[in-house]
Amino acid sequence: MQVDEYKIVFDSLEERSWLSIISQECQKEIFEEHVSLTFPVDVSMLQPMHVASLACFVHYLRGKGNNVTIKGDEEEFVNALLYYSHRTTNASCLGLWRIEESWKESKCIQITNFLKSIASLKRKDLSAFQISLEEAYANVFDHAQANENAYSFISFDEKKMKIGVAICDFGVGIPKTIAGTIRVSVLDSIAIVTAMENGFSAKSQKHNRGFGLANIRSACTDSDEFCVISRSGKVVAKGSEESIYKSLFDFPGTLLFYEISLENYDDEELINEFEW
Amino acid sequence: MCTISLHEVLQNKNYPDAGDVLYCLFEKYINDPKIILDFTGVNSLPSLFLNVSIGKFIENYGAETLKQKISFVNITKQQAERIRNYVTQLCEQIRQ
Repeated sequence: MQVDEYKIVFDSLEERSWLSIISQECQKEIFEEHVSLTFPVDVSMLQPMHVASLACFVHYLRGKGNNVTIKGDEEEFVNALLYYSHRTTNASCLGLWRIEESWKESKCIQITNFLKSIASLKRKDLSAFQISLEEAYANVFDHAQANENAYSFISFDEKKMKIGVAICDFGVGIPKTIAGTIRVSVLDSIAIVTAMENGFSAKSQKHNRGFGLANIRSACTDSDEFCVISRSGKVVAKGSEESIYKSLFDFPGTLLFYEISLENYDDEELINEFEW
Repeated sequence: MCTISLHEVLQNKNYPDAGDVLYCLFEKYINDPKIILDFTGVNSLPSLFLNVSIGKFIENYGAETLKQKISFVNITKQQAERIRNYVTQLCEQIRQ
């Protein structure tokens, strides 16, 4: 008996193409119960932003009642990437996890402690990195209204001493949150820039004052990029520069990704008493 | 003079709740000549903690009172810098 199957092919790793496929498929009504995803690309080159956005997309499809399977030569590799669990030891704290409110703070500590266990990072002050994760995860629960569809993927390249972070949610998106705060319609990319301003807050929760995104950005060193994509807006920050783009697709939520060159971080230095 | 262990305040609480507890301790000891905040064992100070503790203190008592009343000990250079920047930015926000 032939089973009707809807096929989605991720045939490019290029960021715009990847996110465009996800965005366009989210706007369609898929009538087939079975959905297959194939990846005729070099999946070893998948970046955190690919995996986090893919996880949200799979979660979305399953939530709509679709039976999603990965097919093709890359089936095993992609399935392994998408597998997540509450693993608690060593390097298994990296990779994909679904962001849960009860877990988010201990997860940040776990990841930081893992990095600190690496000899070359032992003396480094990694507090800025830890804070960037804490702020990013808190934003999901404070603002996104993602209904549990929020994923984080973290990778670490020990040779390059770079940590890669991607956090994706299929929530309301930054532009809608900002529009609700300022009560004026602005371009989606301008809404993202506004959200990144130090001190601008949507005040969704009592503990919000608008320092979150700025704290994430400041964790990146001058050579690192911090990127935010939400709906049709995209902002890339590097050092003090910001590049603003209008996407050709409407991303169904918010995707935030950045890389940190940990070797640029200073060593931890304790002072006995803080003088103003 | 009283000493507050920030590590103990943060234990088994999320950041906003821990921040509330810290602020309550500030109010409890506000009439002490000095409140010492000990950062031993504390790695992270995200804004969702600072906003409801130190941020709320500044709103209600002012930054000058914070600087005179509260000492931060066993703190890293990065944490100190973060607090200094936070106070500056918050004061700027309040002024606006």
